[in-house]
Amino acid sequence: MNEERLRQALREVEAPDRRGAEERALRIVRAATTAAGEPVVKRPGFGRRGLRVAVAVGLIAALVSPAGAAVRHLVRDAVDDGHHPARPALASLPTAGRLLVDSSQGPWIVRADGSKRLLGSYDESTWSPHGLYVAATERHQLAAIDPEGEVRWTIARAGRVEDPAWSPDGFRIAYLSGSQLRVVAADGSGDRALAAAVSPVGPAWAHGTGRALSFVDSAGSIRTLSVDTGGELSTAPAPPGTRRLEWSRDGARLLVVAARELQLRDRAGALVWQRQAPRGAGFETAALSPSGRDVAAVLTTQAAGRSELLRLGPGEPPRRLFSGLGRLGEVAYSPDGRWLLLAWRSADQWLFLNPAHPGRVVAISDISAQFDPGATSPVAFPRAVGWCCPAGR
Amino acid sequence: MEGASERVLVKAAQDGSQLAVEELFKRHWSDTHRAAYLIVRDAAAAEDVAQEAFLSALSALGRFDRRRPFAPWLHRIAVNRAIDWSRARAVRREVAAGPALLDAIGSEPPPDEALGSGAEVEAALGDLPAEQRAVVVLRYLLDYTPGEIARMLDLPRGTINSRLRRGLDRLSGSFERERG
Repeated sequence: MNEERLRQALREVEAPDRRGAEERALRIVRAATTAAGEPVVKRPGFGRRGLRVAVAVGLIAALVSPAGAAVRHLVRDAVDDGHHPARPALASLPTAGRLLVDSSQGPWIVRADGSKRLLGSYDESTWSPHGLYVAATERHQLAAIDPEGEVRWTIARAGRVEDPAWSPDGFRIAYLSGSQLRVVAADGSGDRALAAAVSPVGPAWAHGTGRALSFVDSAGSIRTLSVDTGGELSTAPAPPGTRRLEWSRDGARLLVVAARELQLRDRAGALVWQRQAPRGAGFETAALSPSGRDVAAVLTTQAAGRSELLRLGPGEPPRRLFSGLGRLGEVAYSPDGRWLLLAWRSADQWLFLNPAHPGRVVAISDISAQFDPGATSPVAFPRAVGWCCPAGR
Repeated sequence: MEGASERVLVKAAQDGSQLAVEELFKRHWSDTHRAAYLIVRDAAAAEDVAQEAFLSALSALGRFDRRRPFAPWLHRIAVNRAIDWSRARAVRREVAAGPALLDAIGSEPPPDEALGSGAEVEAALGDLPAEQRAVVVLRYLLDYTPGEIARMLDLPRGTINSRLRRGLDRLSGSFERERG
C-alpha cells in the first residue's frame, strides 16, 4: 500500500460543518477556562468546579440520550455480572508482595497494605528479580531506580527505548531500542546490541541461567540466544500476531501469546501444547502460573462484546474463571500463585480472583482515578506490570 | 503567542494565560477533530468528542508535565473517547459490531496498491472496526509510531502492528471493491 497517499487522503477528509464546529468548541473552551473575563486555568476553585458542573451537565445529557441508555445498560450489566460489589479503593492486596503499576503519571509501587509511591515520570517499568530496583524507560532513556524513586543510573539511546526486562539472575537488563534488541549490565555498563531487526514484542529471559534471551525477529521467528556468546539456542516459527513471550520460572516452558493462538514450547523450541481461539474470538493476553503448569488467558469475543478469563493447560479442560462485558486487560499472578489480578478496563476495576475458588472475587473500583489522583477525567487505565516477588526472596 | 514553542504555551496556560489556551486550541483542534471524525464517522459525535477532549485536557493542565509534548496527551484522550463512543453506539444497535476483529489475521504485507481520494478513504474506513480505524488514524493521520500508539491505547505493540496490517489490508480490499 502506498502509505503516503493514505496519509494525504486522510488529511483531505473534512467533517461536515468543520468551521462551525471549531467556533462552537472555541466558545465552550473559552467559557470553561474564563469567568467574568478572568483566566482560571490556575485558579484552584473555579476551574475544576466549573468543569465538574460542565461534566455533570454533559453526563446528564449523555445519559438521557439514546447512546447514554446503551451506556447505562452496559455499565449495569458490567457491575451486576454475578460477582461481588466492588470496594471503593485499593486498601490492601489480598496476599503478600508489591505491585508495580504503569500509569499516565508514571510507575507506582503498591505495597501489600495498599500504600502507593509514584516513582517518577516514566513510560514503562519492570521489577528487578528481587524487587530491589526497577528498570524504567522514558522515551530515549533507560533508568535503574530504587523503590523510593532514586535514580541509580541512566543510559540514552538514539532509538526509542521500550520493553525493559531484567534478567532472573539480576545481572543484566534487556530492552528494545528502535529495531534492535540490546543488553546492558545491571550497573549501567557494557550496553550492546544483541540482535538487529527484531519485532516489537518484549524480550523474555529464560529462567534458570539468566543468560538466555528469547525474542521475535522481524522475519517471524522466535529465537533464543545465549547472551554470553550470541549463539542461537533455539528457533521456532512465531504464530501470526505474536504479542508476548514468557518463560516459566523453572525455565522449562516458553509461553507464546498470539492473537489467535497460545503455545507452550520447550527449551529446544519444540511445541508441547497449543490452544486456538474460537472463531470470532482472540486472546488479549495470557500469563503463566508460577508453577508453570497452567495459563491464565483473556479471551475476547468481539461481536458479543464479552471477555473471559480462562485457565488452560496441558491435559486440563479449560476452566472459566471470570466472564464480563466489555474489555479485560492484563492478568498477573501473585508471587505465591494463589491470586490473580485481572484488569477489567470497561468497568474501571481490578479483580482479585482465587483460581482455586473462582467464586472468591475481590473487586476494586475507580482504578483509573486511584493512579491518576487529582484528575477530573481519567485518561488512561493503569497497567499492572508485575507482582513482586517470588516466595523466599 | 503565535510563534511560541509548545512548552512555553503550556507553561503560560498553566499560569493562567487565556491567549495561550486559545493558541493551544488553534494548533490542535483541526487534527483532533479530524481524527475523532474519522473514528466515530458522525459529525455531531466527533464535535462532542473533540470538545470534551480539550476540556478534559485543559482541566488537568495544572498537573501536566511540561517536559512532555501536549499533542499526544490530547490525542490520547480524544481517540480513547472516540473508541468508547463507537463501542457504545455498537451496543445500542444490538447487532454484531461489524466483521469480527480477529477473523482476518494475516501475516502477509498489504499489497502495494494506492488508495484514492479522501472521500474514498473515508468510505473505506467505514468497513473497519473502530479500534482499527483508531490505529490507522493515529499512525497515518497523526504520525505516531506503533510504540507510541501502543502506549496511547494501552495495548501491546504486537496488537497495534497486527491491527495496522489488517486495517491496511481491509482498506485496500474495500477500496478495490468501491472501484469495481
